[in-house]
Amino acid sequence: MKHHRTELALTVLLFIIMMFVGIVQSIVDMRKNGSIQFLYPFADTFTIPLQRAKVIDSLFNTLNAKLPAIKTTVDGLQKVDSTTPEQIWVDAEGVTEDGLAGVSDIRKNVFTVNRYRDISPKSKEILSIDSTVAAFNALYVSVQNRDPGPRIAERYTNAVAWVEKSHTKFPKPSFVSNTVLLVKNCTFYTIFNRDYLRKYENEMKESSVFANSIRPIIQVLWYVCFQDLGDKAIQGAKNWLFYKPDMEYLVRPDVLDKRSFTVDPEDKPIKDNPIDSIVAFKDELQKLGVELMVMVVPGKPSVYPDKISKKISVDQACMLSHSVKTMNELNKRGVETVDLFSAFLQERKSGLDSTDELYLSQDTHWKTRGVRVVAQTAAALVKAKPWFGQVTPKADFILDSVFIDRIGDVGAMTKIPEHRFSALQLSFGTERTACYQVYQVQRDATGAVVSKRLFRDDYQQSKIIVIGDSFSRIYQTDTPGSAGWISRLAYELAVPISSIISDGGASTLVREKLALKKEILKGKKLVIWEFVERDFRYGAEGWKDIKLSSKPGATEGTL
Amino acid sequence: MVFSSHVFLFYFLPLTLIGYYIMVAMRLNRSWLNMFLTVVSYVFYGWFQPYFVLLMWFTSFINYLAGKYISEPGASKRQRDTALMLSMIISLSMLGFFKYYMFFMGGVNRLAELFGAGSSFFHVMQVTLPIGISFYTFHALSYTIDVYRGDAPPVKDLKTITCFISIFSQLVAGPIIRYNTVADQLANRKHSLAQFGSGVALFMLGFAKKILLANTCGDLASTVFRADSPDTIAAWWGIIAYHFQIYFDFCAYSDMAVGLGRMIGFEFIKNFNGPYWSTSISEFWTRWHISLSSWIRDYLYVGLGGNRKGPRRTYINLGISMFLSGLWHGAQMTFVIWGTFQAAFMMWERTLGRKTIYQKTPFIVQVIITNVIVMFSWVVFRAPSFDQAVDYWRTMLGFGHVATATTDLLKAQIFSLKYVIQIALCTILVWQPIQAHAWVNKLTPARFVLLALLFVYAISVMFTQSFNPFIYYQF
Repeated sequence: MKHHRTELALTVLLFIIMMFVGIVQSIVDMRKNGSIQFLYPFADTFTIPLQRAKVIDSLFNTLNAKLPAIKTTVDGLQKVDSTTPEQIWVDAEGVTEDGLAGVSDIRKNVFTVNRYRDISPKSKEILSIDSTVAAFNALYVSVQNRDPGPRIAERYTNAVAWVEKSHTKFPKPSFVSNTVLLVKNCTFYTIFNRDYLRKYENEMKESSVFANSIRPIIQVLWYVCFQDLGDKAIQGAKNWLFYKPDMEYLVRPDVLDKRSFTVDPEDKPIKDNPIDSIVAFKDELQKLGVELMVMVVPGKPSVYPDKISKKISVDQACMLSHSVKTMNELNKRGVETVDLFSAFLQERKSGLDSTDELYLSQDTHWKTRGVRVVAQTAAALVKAKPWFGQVTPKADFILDSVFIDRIGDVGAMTKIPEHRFSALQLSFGTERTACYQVYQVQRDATGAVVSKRLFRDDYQQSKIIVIGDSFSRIYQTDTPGSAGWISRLAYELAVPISSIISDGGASTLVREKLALKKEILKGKKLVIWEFVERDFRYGAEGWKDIKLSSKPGATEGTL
Repeated sequence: MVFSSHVFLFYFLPLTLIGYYIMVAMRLNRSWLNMFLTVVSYVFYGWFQPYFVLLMWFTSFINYLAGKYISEPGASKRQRDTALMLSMIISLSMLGFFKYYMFFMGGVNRLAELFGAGSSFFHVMQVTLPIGISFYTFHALSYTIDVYRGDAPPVKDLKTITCFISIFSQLVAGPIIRYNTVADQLANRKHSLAQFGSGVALFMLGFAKKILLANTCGDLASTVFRADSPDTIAAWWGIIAYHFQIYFDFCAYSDMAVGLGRMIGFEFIKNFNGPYWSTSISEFWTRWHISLSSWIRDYLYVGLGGNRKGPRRTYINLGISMFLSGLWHGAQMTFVIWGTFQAAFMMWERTLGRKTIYQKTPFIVQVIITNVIVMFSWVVFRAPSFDQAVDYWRTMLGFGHVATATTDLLKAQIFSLKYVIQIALCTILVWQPIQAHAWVNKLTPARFVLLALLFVYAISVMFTQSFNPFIYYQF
């Protein structure tokens, strides 16, 4: 032992470090959640499934206990006529709603298997419960609609039949059923399931108190030593910050290049062709009589490459992006596009002396000057539409200026603590910018404004709907509100506009949102689809084809 | 599980070591210790995909049976040959199916396309590659072949061979352990503080290499290799980064594996011996991934007749060995070409009497030229397709892309202070004279302090990195 002091010291050090992190984490977990994360797989495998089975069984029993009361109410409704007091209907609504709440509770418990896994939406259990929910919903709606008694009785019978059927999918807890449940649970949902293990491991990493405390310190150290801002941010000239994926999008091959499809094992190949997906979406809208206009937003490095490399001149701004080629391809395939690249280039060239930039220096998004250019460029195209002259109603808007202080999102992504900014001479703090809020006004006969309210989406009256990402959100729903490019477009066109926004999900998610609310497309003339150029490569959920013309799925199961 | 992951470092490893040494303290026999190691190794392996544990167990079982039949008293040569062949066919078929089925079917479809059939004439199933299958299949085969050749005694029971094949320290990315080198240790290994301590040191050093050097170089290399239009300078910068990444990544894994082995009483072979000091490609292969090159040499090249059957046959055997060595790395044409590239240089050097055409230049020039040749070979190893490798080579030679504004953007990113310092540091560390194994064998208080600081810093940096793969995991 005497001769191996160093070895002993190393061994002790290794154990201290390894154990320290685990023990500290366990203490924090215990204090915070009353349980230790390290032990979650044991609980998820052995305790939680049995508890869940008990809860589901007890919820079924509760629901079954409610059925006689519902039956009595439904029987009572068989004799109703126009003289029946309203209170009877109101009571019936309450009783059936209670049943619906009961079955919804069961669904919630069935759906969530454990902390990291949900049951498959296509599993027999969930399909059966969904049909039960639909049947109860139909009963409740029927009562709300004051349907005739026999119709309500029919729906009640259907709901009861679904309760019985779905209850059979969840046998009463017993030794045999519990054993089967545990085996099934291990096999599909916990320790033998790859997805479960990945999610568990990721959460372990993400929620580590030790990691979260150390990360900012290391980030500061790396900045001090190497001027490095981490995985998400790149520093340009004069404290301008750029979002790394924006930069990578420009540096990597075009998404239509064959190199984007054959990639190394650590990379993600392009799976869905964005051009095909956009064209398919245009066709879907066309079937509903709605036009599509695609607006690809240049990322900040496209507009300000000269802030990253001194070798690049302002003349090369915007035009270095592959998106220009991709947009040409879209035009060839019959998709109309808003060319912000040319518009921004022109603005940059004409505004060389201006201190008012198009983009915020430490944020991925644009400033008010950018907002104005975007709105005016899009408005010019919309005004050229043959139908635009006939669009009614018109709306009267005015602008009012306001200053806001915005903390740049790229600065925040560096993970450098804000209180360190000044110590490191980083001007990552807030950036003051002027915004123009758009107000809708009413005037009297003399033209004087008699009332005004901030612009807001008008789903009923608008003929134009914008779908987009955070570029549509900034200043619009963010502070100060109604000062984003959507409001500004409404101002330029003097017509109401509506919008659907999905932060970071304008490639697919925002269209899915639109598809879910597709009734709002009724009477619309144009969809303007805004997304940032990097989404061609990195769009969340890729570029899926979204159907708008299909009929809604069945909502009510019938036995 | 990855060695440089949260779950391994803070949960799996301490619990395993504590459990193991409680059993050692209880003076349980080796059989119990081996069983414990098998169980924890299956947990380690199953963390990636639990069901692949069954595949590994099946490989162990088949080779156990083969060993049993081969060593059966009174077994005829024919019986022994049959047992060996069957175990090899089954083990290699599993490797072939999981690793090469999609590659093979892709080739068949391309052939069908040439004859006018559609590009997906044959349906190709999507097969998930079990990590480390190439490594553990070679471990298993070495057992059967060693027993067949009489180089090692057969195991007495199934649990010993399952332990040998699955020991977590070297399971998924080597070094490739040959049964005859650990047969004694499986039955009778000693545990000492000196061995444990040097294992800890090696593990810490490997961990620091991986996190502080390999990952940063990998990030840089990936940026260049994935770029649209790097120019010649950027291309060289990228391949230099990859040259360092692959060395530090794989060498780090091997150091950690050997270190972890020492912690549980095993002594595995050293997998690297200053490969970038080589003055020829033939020498490079005696210093790089030693466990694979010696495995290929002893079980394949020698099996094919080696250099005993005349010069022509020697070249053929060499070509086959290096071709298969390339294919072992992955089911892609790029790996086959990489193996063939290495074979071509080795054959050329053999025709010159194990010399190079640049042998008369100063030592340092020989080292530089050899490194440049190796770098050219890494291009095809790293590139996702042969077309992209050719493109990259052209760029390196100055016949590639015309620089555009995006090239300037790329260069602004890759010539940052962090990367310049990183490459300078790697250059110093790769060509400094002391190897890790020698360094940890003589631990001084100063080295302890340095290791402690490095390890703590590397763990802290690990928390900030999102780029953390081990290159050899994919093989």
